[in-house]
Amino acid sequence: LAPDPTVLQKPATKEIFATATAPLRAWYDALRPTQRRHGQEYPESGPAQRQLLNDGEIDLSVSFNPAEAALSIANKLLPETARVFVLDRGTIGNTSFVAIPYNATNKEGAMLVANFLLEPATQARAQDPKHLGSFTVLDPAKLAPEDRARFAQLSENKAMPSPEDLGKILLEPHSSWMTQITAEWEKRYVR
Amino acid sequence: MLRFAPPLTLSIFLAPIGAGLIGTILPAFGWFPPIGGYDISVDPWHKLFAFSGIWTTLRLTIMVGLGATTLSFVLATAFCALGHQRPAFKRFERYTAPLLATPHAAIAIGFAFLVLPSGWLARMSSPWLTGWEHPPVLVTVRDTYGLAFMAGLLLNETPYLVLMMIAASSQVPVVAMVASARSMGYGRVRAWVNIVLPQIYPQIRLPVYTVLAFSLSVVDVAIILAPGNPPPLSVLATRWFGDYNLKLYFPAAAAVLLQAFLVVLAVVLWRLGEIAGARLGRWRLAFGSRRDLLAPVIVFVGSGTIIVGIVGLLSIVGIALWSLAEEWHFPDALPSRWTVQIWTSHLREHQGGSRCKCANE
Repeated sequence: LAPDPTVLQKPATKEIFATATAPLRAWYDALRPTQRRHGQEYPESGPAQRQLLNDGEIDLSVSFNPAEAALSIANKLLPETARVFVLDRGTIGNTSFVAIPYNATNKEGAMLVANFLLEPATQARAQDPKHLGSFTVLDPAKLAPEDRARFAQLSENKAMPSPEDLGKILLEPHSSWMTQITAEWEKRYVR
Repeated sequence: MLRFAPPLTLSIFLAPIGAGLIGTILPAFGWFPPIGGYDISVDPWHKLFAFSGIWTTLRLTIMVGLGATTLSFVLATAFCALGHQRPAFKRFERYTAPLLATPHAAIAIGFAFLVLPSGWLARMSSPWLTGWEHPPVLVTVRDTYGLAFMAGLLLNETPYLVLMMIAASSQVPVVAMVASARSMGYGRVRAWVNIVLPQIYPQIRLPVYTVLAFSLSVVDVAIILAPGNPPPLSVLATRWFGDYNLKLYFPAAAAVLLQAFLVVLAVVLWRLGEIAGARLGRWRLAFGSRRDLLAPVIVFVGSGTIIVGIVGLLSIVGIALWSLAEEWHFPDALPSRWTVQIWTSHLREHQGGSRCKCANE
């Protein structure tokens, strides 16, 4: 929706913000009345939205975790027919991060834990809805065949997308865009 | 030695509250060194009132706070006026026990499930009666005016006030007083309202103020039943306190102070209402009219109290069923698959044996 997507990678200044988000605002103003309760009222949280989906009050809900449907089915929070889809023209590939605070006492130990978390075996187990249901941050195409097989096995679950299913991965905008869009939304739509 | 006991006890109680108050007042004026607040200013208040939904937020908070308290007081009074000295009334305590023992949030969740467009009432009557194959597009909970929020508060507050009134009645010779009033030709309802209520009111005044303060500042029930865009003041403050942007801690502290001020203001308003009510009652009494004009209204309102009780109990049954449900989809009146897994897994967790199952957000 932004006329020039490259500006999204830089901090949002006032002038750039207005022009870059104008199409988004027009699109949202057209979309909003068609939403549940005319876009005047929203579920309090992600889980609250998922419950509305489970109750059949809404037809789709948004999640940051591609494994959410599989995880929710495993936990009986969604019917077994729940499926995942991504946008045709690409989806922002935001994923989990592990950070070490600058004043951490045991940096080496923390790095060791971070390495462990990134190991394919750990990642595959974490993606399994029976355990954590957190979609992998690895690109299976770059893995050894036996590790790739672990992830392929997980994708046999119809509610679990395979990495290819996720389509084109878009870059996340500079974080200043998110805060400014949120502030702008609040200013325009909270009455 | 003993004369130091009262001030000592008081200070043990009040010191933590005082510390908390200071810890809120300082950030509300910009002072909170751990996150870089070194300047005393009114900036947090500017930020609070710059929130674009602030007036809706305040209106919602005040309307629901005063509304829920007034309604639960009226409902409880009507119920006691109707029921006093009846045998069924004695059994009342048994039915209110679950309502008072269940956490507010649990009742709120149960109530939301009861009245949601996809909720239990809709499920019980669909599709055979309503023709709904899918949940209808209706607004029940989180409505703009906070009606569902107010109703949810009534479920706990009405039985609480009734119990308080029953307890206070035992301090007053109700039977004798009502009997003598009736011998002078007053009806049973009027006798209770005119003679007993003014005498027990001083004893239930504090519980009423508690209900008032609770309705104005409750967070958990509000998150479930109140509108969120914008939310009541208490929820707004909670959101800001928990925001990843630590700078919002300052307007959050200001919001909490404003909240405290609203409670004080509401109590003062209520007190003025009490005085006006007492004047009005005395003025009416002086006429000496024996007509019980109030009685039909009280019967109507008193049956409302019974409905409140039934809805409260149904809310508890609803969440109890969910705790045993494996799958429960619209429009099934009962779960389609049952399980005790939720209970067993949580019981195991409390024994410390099982691993933590972390749901991913």
